[in-house]
Amino acid sequence: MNILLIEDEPELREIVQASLKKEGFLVQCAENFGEGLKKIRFYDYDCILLDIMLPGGDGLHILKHLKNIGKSENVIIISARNSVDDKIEGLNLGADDYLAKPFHMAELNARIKSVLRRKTFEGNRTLECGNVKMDLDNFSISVDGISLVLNRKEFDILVHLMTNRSRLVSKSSIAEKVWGDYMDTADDYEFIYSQVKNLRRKLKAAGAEVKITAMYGMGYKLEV
Amino acid sequence: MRLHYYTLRRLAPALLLIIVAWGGLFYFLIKRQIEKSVDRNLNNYKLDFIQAIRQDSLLLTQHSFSSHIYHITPITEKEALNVKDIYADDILYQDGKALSARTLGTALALYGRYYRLQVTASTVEERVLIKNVMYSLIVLYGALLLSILFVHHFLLRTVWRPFYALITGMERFRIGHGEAMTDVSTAISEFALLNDAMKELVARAEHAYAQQQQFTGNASHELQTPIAICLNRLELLLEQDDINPATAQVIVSVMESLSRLSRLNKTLLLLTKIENDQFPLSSMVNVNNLVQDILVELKDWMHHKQINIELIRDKGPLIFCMNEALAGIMITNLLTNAVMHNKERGSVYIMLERNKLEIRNTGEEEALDSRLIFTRFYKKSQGRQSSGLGLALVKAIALRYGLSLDYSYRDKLHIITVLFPSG
Repeated sequence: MNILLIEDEPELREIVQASLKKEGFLVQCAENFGEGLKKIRFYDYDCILLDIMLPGGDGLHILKHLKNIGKSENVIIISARNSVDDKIEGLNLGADDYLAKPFHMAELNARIKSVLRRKTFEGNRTLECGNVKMDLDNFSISVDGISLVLNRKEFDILVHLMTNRSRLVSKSSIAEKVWGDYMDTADDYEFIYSQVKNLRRKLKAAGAEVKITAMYGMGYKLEV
Repeated sequence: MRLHYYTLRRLAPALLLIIVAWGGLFYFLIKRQIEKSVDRNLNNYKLDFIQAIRQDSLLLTQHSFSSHIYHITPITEKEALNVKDIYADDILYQDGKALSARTLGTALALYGRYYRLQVTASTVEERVLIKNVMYSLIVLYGALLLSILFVHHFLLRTVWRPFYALITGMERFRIGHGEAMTDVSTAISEFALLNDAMKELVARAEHAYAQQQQFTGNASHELQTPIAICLNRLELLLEQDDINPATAQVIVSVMESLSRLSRLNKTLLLLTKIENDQFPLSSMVNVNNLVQDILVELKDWMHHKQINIELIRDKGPLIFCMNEALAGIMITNLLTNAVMHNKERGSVYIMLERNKLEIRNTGEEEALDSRLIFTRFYKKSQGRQSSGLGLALVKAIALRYGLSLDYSYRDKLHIITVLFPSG
């Protein structure tokens, strides 16, 4: 999978690149408007991560340009502006998603995979890990072909962990992903624990080959 | 008290005192002049009488001479030598009526004999004159007092009009709204000076305010990226396999502090955005539904904290036109505030009425300072997780939409009331 990252902040570029490489993506970078334009003209990518505040021009023009040259690459806008107007305009111009800075790497990862899934499987979105298989469209999960009953929260947590398998997923990332944006005003994320505990119990009882490990009280990791 | 009435109230008694004193003095002077002339007349009469009696001794037996009344009685020489001219008020009886009069007592020598002479003249006319003078004075000075106050009143009104216009302008002025103050044109140079000084002050305040706003905004914005980079790098570091648990613990605690910093920063940025009016989109928000949606999101967290939530919303839907995201932020902050500052196994009561949202919660059994709780970084409990910005955020949103925000402490409950303007 080929990903183009158009981002002017060198450190952020480096981190995103490192993080995505772990997931097995091939990441190319462009550090300004001109370079970004050149790269989209000459190469094809599976996904483009686009910062819309770029030196040399508005990132939204890159979106327009993509449309003009007839390319239908998946684009995820990453922006520090986090304004509703930008979001609406970006999505109207054909972007697939909008992610406000700062973001968790797990979240970026989840968004990229979601966008790619949409592209490759055309409506049949599944996640597989060991003997665990999740169907995201029907909200069903099976272990060794035997279906398992999870509540919505448990299901969403597992999806998030499976998307970021073998990586540390922080509790705050889970809280925001599963419980919603309002959760960032909460003073602690201890309440996640009881859901994770139930999820672990159900997975173990079903004989799943995946295991959720707590990481330093910071978050969780899904291990196969 | 208004300047207007203040000066009038000071001026009126002073003027009254001066005018009464002046009028009284004038009255007594006039009265004395009249009395003196009465006495002079009596004296003239006495001289006339003495001249007449020298020619006509018959007068000795009579009592009246040219409209005056007199008494003449013989006395000894010794007595006569002791008599001095004495003027005194007297009463005359005429047709059974008592009339005011004046008498002059004197002694005179006639044909070698001595007499005591007492001449009396009626002063009815003079009394009437004095009375008329008094009435005229009262009316005159009364009218004078009133007209002075009247003129003063109208003069004050005209003179101070630009001043009041300036004050109204100042009252209407809201910093950060970008409205310049309206000019007050006046011929009075002091007020023109005040106008200019105020205009300059306002311009300077606006400028400083804008700069401060911009600084907060820029600083928060610029901080966001480095914080995010630190967090992401630490996340990657934590994912390395060869890391030992002790190091991991240190990294985690650094990450926690950074997350707090990031949240604080985000909130500051949000505050700036609200104050800069960067949430222009408004729609009709059903607060009842919103509260319920948020409660669903926060349910697990509240449950974990063992806080009991009661929602009372049978008094009709609360619908208000505002930015939905801001409404959500406001309600979330009010609710999380009520949960975070609660006690163990405490309760939160949410009351929804047609134009009122009230959130009551148990907590520390002591009222908080209602003037301070909505200010930034006010923290009663030294809770590490509380940013001290939640209620400031609520306040900023309330201000933006003209909602009134109130805190009170009743029956061991901390109560925050949000009143939505109707219509």
